[in-house]
Amino acid sequence: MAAPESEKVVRRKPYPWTFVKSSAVILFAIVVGETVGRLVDRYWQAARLGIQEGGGGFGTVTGFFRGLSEYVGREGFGAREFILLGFFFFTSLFLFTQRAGVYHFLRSMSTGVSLVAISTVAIAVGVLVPQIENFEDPQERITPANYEQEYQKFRWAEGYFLYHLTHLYGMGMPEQGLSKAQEEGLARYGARYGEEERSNREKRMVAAFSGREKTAEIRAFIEEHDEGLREFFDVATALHLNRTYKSYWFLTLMGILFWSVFFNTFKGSARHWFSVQKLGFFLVHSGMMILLIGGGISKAFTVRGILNLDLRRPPEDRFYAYFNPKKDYVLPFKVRLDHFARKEWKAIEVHFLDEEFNSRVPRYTLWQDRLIELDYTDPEEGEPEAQLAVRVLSMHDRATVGEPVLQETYDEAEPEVVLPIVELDVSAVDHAHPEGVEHDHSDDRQSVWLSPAIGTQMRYDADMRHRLRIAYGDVDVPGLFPDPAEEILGHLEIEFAGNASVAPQVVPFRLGETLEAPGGYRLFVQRATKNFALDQGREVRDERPLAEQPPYRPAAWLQITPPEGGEPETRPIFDGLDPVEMEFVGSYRYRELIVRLRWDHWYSPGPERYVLHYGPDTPPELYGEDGSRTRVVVDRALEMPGSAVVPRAIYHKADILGREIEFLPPLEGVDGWDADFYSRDPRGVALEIVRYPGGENEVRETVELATSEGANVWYSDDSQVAVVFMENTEVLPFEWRSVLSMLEVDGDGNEYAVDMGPENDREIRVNDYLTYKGYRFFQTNADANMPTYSGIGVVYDPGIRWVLFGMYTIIAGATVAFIIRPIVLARRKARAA
Amino acid sequence: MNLQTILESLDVGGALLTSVTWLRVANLFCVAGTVLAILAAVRHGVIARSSDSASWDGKNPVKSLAVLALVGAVVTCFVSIWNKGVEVNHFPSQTMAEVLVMFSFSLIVSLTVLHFALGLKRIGPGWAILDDTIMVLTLQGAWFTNIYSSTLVTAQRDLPPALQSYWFAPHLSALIFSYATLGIAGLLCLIYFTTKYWAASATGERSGLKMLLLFAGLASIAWGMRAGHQGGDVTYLLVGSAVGLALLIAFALVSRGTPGLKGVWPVAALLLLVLMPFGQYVTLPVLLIGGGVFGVLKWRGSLPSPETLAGLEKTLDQVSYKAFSVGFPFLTAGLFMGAFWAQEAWANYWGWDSKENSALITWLVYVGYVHLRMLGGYRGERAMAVLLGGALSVFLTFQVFGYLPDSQKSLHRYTDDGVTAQEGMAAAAPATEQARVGEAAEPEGR
Repeated sequence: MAAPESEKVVRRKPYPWTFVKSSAVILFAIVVGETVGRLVDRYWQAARLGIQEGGGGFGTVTGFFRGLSEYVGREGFGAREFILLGFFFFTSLFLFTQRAGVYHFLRSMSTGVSLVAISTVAIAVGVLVPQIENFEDPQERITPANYEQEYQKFRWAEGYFLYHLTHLYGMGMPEQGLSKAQEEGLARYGARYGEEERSNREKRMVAAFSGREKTAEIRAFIEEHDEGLREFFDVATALHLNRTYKSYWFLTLMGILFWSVFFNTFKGSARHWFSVQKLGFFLVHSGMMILLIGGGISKAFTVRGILNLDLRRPPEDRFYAYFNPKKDYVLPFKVRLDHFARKEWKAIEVHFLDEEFNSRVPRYTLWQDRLIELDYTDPEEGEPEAQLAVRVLSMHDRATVGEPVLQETYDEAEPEVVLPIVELDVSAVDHAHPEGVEHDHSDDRQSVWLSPAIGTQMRYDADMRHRLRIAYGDVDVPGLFPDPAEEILGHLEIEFAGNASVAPQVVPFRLGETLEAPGGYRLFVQRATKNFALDQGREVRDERPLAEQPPYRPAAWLQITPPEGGEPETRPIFDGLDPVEMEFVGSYRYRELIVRLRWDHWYSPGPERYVLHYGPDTPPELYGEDGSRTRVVVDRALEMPGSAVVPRAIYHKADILGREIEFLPPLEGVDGWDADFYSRDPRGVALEIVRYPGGENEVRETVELATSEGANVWYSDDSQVAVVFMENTEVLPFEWRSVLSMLEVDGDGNEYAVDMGPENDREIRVNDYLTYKGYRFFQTNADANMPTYSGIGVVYDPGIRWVLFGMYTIIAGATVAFIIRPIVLARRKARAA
Repeated sequence: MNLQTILESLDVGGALLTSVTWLRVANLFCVAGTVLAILAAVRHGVIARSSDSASWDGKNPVKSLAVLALVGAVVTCFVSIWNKGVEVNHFPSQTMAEVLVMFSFSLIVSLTVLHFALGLKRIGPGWAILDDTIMVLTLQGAWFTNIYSSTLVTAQRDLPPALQSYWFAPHLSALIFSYATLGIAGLLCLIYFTTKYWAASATGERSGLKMLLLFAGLASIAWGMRAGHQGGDVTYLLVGSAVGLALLIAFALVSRGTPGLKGVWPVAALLLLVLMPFGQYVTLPVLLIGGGVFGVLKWRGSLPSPETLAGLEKTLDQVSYKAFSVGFPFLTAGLFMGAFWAQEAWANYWGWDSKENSALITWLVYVGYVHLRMLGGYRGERAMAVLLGGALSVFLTFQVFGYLPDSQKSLHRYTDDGVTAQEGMAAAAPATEQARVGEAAEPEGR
């Protein structure tokens, strides 16, 4: 029925939104959003604190208002607050009165596509501008304290990108070939380890040589454009481009996107939404909305960080929020680490003892039935054939290795290798012995063997109370105690590329000392530590004096000044880490100078030193640094401070007869829990080693090896080949796992462990987390030098389930829209035809 | 008896079982398929011009052989990947060399799916030529990718704990399959723009001089890139680009107001394609071949009618959309499966990592394409240009990602050779300056 003339409404033609107009409005809105966001940030942070203390549920709402009111109560209600309230009021009023226009704007195709395009650009900005460290922390900002550090990272990342952008396809980049000597070396390498290994080694060498030159060029490029890069960094900081995804402008953009999707999804009748034509798109849009809602919840309520647990420490309820040691966050319960272990990949190295390579030989990861073929015949004599084959017969997580069978040798025709050795019984809870042979027992004691014949072999007390070494025969024992005035920390092994044929120069070094190095360089020893540790890529400094630091990972910082007096380079060097092997060299300013650190655990500051001395005609005695001298009796603890050290046997000429290996059956854990994983027993492997396979001289041998010292090497009868079995600690481990318990406090104030099932249910590993009271615990960190430490990631994020549901919905929707819908429509069409 | 046992029983001296050997066989199939598809295209062309075209039953023995070669490539490539898995003891997508072979496999699988799903040859001999062209380009792409993968480091690498997840294979497979399918959609765009370019030239919509300017401009840029790459001197690129851009600007100036190819889309799209890495291996050859075909047709006076050309363009538009329709759900699933996985590994479904973001950008470009096509009615060159932008984004995500500024601390750099792996999510960022490709590998034979 037609409406009466008087009631007819004159319909205005909707405003024609174009891409340009829509984009302009969206950009204006996100500028306003950023401005307002910055103004309300302090209120939001206060409210957020209130929410966190609210403890969920209704407490979230009350917490929000409590946090806000406390802040306003503290800071007062002034002009700023009035202006903000006015802004919100008038904005709301505008949106209400102009709701038809706003609705039309949000539903416009131009707006939708513009939103997608601007979102794409916004995300691209975050890719093209390196995000600051810990940007996920909503409070993280560039401050004077971290400005330079962040800028250095920024300029390298941008410089690296721009350098490659201006050298498309590698044009103009340095390309380094190999010398004849290197190619010859590679050919020998290939003959032993195969063509693929040779080829891969060659590719890496070419990349390495070219890479070093390239790095130098990138540095020069960065230096040349430093001013521009700094300006760019300042602009990016001012606009929060380097924390894009946590900025208010991005939040505003996502907000507009949500409402645009909302108004475009719920239009027309509900029947329409579920038609074959529309269902897929309806699902995708609904999923998108759910995802954005979940993202909003995550943004508002998420707390994440790291909980540092240790098997030797009590349960913890504090973790570092956003991995920042200065931001403690307290959990409403405590977490205890019941078990922790990391399992390395089992690997072998095959050495040809009549051949020397500058490269490290390949390290082969082992798995059941793996066949490794090596030592090829000359290709000029036909298709190269392997003359050595190693096949893995079985692998074992647990093995027992008999104690080295030592025997005092009195025979005149004594074997070639006989050593004075002292067998000591020590505390097994000890991770501070930098050198020395050890064998684990399941109890809390273990045996170690020390010999004066092996360099400066010594033992560090687990409680950091003493250091012990052995001396034998005609030795000036007091002379073994260093003069405190010497203050030697160790030795530097200095190699200068200009005289590569000359052996590295080895010099002692002291803190604060300046050393003259080959090539005219000067090395100033700036700083040193015995306990270098990283957390989130940042050094965690051990502020204790050197003498009190545990000897986990010694490091020193050198300031290197070139001969012509150019810009000095500050370079950290680490004991036991070869800078070439570890690929540190690429980051050096003066790459022609390689310096390795050899920390001296005896000479450097530390606990009191003791020497156990004996000889052919001298009874064993313990010499103290303080001048004390006591008799040593077998099976009686040595008179030293710290944990007990009991000598079990003292040999003058010990002949090592070998170690017996036995593979143990797997341990059976409750509910299928893999108890073997946590075993500290040596790992074992059985190999079949075949020399000259298929030939007349074929020799087939089954070899059993274990990871314990003295049980991990096999030598061929002709002493030409050695196979070394090991756990590969140079790559990421196979896996690491923890078993956790949650501790609550009962009404009487007593702590109790929550019943969360057997170990299997409380175990976490990478890709398998544990949830308790909304907190998720996942395996994050470990440190090869701290076997009892486990870094547990903690996340409280109530938005996760929303987001995941949204994503599943989007996948389902896309499948329906682009695969099922065309098929159904095609069938309908065919049927109709 | 499982596949491995069967393969072991076929082993002759161990050589047959290696992944490298099987990949070489796959390459042979790719080359054979290419040659056969070219011959089939010639045959289809002859049929299309003959009076029998109306009664054509879609049968062509040469094409059948080409399809057989394609299936052979799929099977042998699969066996190669299977063996690689045995050789490295995990799903072989840990190194870039392994991922690229997965990509080439996905390319030919996707081609097989599209060949049978689209059924172009059933429409007529003219459409069969399009099918042949797609086959030639894709098989060449797979072959080239395999060859390129062998120039990278192929050493076995252990899976870090984070990659030991049941999400690893589906996440990677879905994404790589989608990249391959969307890459084929990109190839269709290339054919579209090439056809438009030469058709406009051959039918006189643009004068020969104008077309020469355009072609010379593109060729100059491509020459600069190639010469610069070979000579190792950036000057070639600068000179080539400067001359090329000048020619393109001249083309744009003299073409103002000319009917036919409207707007700057074709030029922009072609320029984009040439600038894309490997552009000189794909774009220019296709342009040249297209030019040759149109030249011969013009010489013989048998140029396709405007209606036929319009039909071809429409078909290309539809076919590219169908290829997109297959790839997009996989892209969506792959992207979000990564989020499910990250949620399990790090309780962080979205870490705003640059790889995640690059993939999201790609997804958003395609979302934009869908909206423009479905709501904005975009068809033809404008839709194709956006689709091409998506292909470019796929390429950036897949191959260029490691160079982007925020990628220096990405958790997704598992495929980079020489990146020192570190423990855990929190400490996983490689030290920025030391993490590049083998910059400090040890020299041999000093």
